[in-house]
Amino acid sequence: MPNIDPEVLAGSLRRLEKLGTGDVPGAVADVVHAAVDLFQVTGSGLMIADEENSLHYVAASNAPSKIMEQVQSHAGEGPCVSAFVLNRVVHTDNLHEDARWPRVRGPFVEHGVVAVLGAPVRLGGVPVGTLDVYLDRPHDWDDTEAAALERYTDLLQATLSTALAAQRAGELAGQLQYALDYRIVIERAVGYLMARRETGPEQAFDLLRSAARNQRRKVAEVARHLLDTGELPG
Amino acid sequence: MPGSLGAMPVDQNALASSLEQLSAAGLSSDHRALEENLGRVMTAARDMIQVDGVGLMLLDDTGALRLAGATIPAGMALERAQLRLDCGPGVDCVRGNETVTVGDLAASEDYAAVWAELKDDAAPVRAVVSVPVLVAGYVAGTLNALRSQPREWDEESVRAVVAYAELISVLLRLGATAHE
Repeated sequence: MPNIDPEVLAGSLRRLEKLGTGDVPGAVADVVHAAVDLFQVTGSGLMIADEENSLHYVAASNAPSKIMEQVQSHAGEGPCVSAFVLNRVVHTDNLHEDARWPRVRGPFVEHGVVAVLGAPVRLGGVPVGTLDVYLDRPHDWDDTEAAALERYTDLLQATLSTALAAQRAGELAGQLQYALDYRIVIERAVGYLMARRETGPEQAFDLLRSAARNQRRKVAEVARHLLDTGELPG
Repeated sequence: MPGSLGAMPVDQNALASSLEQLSAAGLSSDHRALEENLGRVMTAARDMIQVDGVGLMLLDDTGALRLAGATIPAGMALERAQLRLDCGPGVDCVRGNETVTVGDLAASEDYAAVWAELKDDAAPVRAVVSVPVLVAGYVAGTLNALRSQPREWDEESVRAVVAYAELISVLLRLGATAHE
């Protein structure tokens, strides 16, 4: 490993400091954008969950990534939602032929999102969002690519932890703390439903989401109600 | 190459392994950790782009370009010659904020003075690609990928160097954040 000259590095950091480049959200956006070149994909995005457990972009490399957020958030399904709920890497090699997410498939393909690889982003072991990369053509994602994306999310998680710890992280730190707080209660409620109804995590999450919609309440509120009373409201 | 997308030169197995090391080492804000992480990224870049070495030059707070490190002695020699002569692909890369590729330094009219300094060394650098390291849109320095044999650079190799320059940019930006 090369020895980096500490004096030269210190001089460089002083210069960057003078230029005002040391903002944490900017560093997080850099990590997301760098994924495009590292994984040689069409686009990339980082989504963080809100209190509805809907995923919202905090950084995206291009416009189709933004469409992915809107469509998945509205439909409550999609490869990134699955990666988030299942807490593992999820991929689709060709959305033209993949019927798992019928509500998002059409809009995705229409906007040039054909092959997607999504990985959960965790803080303190709790998933708070997803990092996704996509291609505008079919692609057979293999285990090495999935492993590389997971390792890249490790780097992103370290960056996000720095963001949470930094005084100047501002809105991003708030979003992350919010996601972390709500995610814990929702995850516990999903686990409870899975055990009680002998169902999978995606179905359990869908039950929560449907109950929230029927009651016009937030998913996190419904999750809290379930944990307090043992029953879904309504 | 196994595990890469299409014919691209970034080996995803090797990428995963280097990223694992990087995150396991943590993104501590102290300078020593940052030096080590920069070194890790440079080593990973050398291995994954399959070049003989890489060198990093950074601008300091007076605007002077300085040698931060290189993975091989021939790289150190090239970077020092560039700084001494104020001429070379890395110097032009930083000055113009653009990627500079040289397939054979010995045949380059623009960098004849640099080659004159290096030609008597053992296994001098022959092929160079210099990519700007951009932090928040500002040029912070240049990452140079080096080969000891003449060879033209293809688009995929250049893109891989750009990818590692972006990782270095992320580390510097986090370092600057901690520094403030």
